[in-house]
Amino acid sequence: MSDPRDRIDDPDAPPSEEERAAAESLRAALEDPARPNEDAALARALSSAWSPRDLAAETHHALVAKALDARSRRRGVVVRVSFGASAALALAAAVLLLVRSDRQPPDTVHAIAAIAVSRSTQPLFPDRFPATGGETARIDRIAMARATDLRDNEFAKWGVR
Amino acid sequence: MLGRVAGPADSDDALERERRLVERAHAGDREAVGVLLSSHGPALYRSVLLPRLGSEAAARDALSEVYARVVERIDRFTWQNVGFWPWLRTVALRVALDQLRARKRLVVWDAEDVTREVDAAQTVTPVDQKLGEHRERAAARAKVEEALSRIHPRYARAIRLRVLEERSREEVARELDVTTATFDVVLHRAMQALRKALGAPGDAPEGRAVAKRDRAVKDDPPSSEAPDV
Repeated sequence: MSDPRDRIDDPDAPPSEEERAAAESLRAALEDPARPNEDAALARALSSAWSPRDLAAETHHALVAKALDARSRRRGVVVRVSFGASAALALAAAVLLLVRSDRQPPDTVHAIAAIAVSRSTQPLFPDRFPATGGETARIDRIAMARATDLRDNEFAKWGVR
Repeated sequence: MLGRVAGPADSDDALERERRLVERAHAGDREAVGVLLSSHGPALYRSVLLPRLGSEAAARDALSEVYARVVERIDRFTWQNVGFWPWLRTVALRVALDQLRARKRLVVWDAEDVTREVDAAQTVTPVDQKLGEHRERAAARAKVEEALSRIHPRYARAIRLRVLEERSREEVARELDVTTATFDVVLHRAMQALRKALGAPGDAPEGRAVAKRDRAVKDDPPSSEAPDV
């Protein structure tokens, strides 16, 4: 029996029973996304890259609302209002207002990610180098290291590191 | 409210409106944050997250995570004259990168690709931003084309017709001049070949690393004379 990999490389090779079964499984999974199938998942990934569909408006609104609600919760104010009425007293109403702070610092206070600081270039050159020659390579090495620092600092500043 | 619903700020007026929204968001205005997210979110999902993550569920989760990060960190965003989109896109790319690193499932993008995109996000110019979604879409399609170029042309055609053009299997079978049962086998083999080309686990020798190295050399195109199944 030939190696299944050879059959993949040769479109002309007659299919085995296993291949027929796998092909049927793929066909079914493409028609019914609920069926788990790795090849069908890859096919959907291709389709998503080729012609991505829009997110349903309701789903999007729900995601925005969820994020904003989380922000409100973090703001640390929980207001709970309860009304109670007693039928026996008929005229009494009770209102309970509870304001509680969760004692967390406000959102605007964040730990700032560490920023790379200026420093000696010595650690970039652990080995001794000749007094003349190789200057360009050394400058390139310094420039690359500092470019990396700059990029990291920008990401830290943006809050995306 | 912004007058449009997607993509980078594309005019001075839009840019100015967006700057004011960011200012309000910095001052703690919840509605302004909501408008910023609502303006850019659909484009972010469609052109950045979904193509890279390859599944609607994963892209939805990622968008939710992006929003959480934006809400938490918007006060760290410094306004620059390219608008809010570049920052938002960078946050989204980093969320996508986290997901790609954590997942086992094969997609068209890999973590290495997205890492390069995050690095390149630093050098994006206002002109790049104006190209916006069109540019993202072209990049995604190029990525798919590049993956298909690595497999047998007959397999690539089967995938193109059935998966990308979403034609029925009967129609594609007719187009390829085979029975539907034979087409099912062709498509199965095509997907297996693509998995191999993209470097699914266990297929390391044909994987992405090798493909990327070879890309510079430009392999001969596969023979188009191979017989039909």
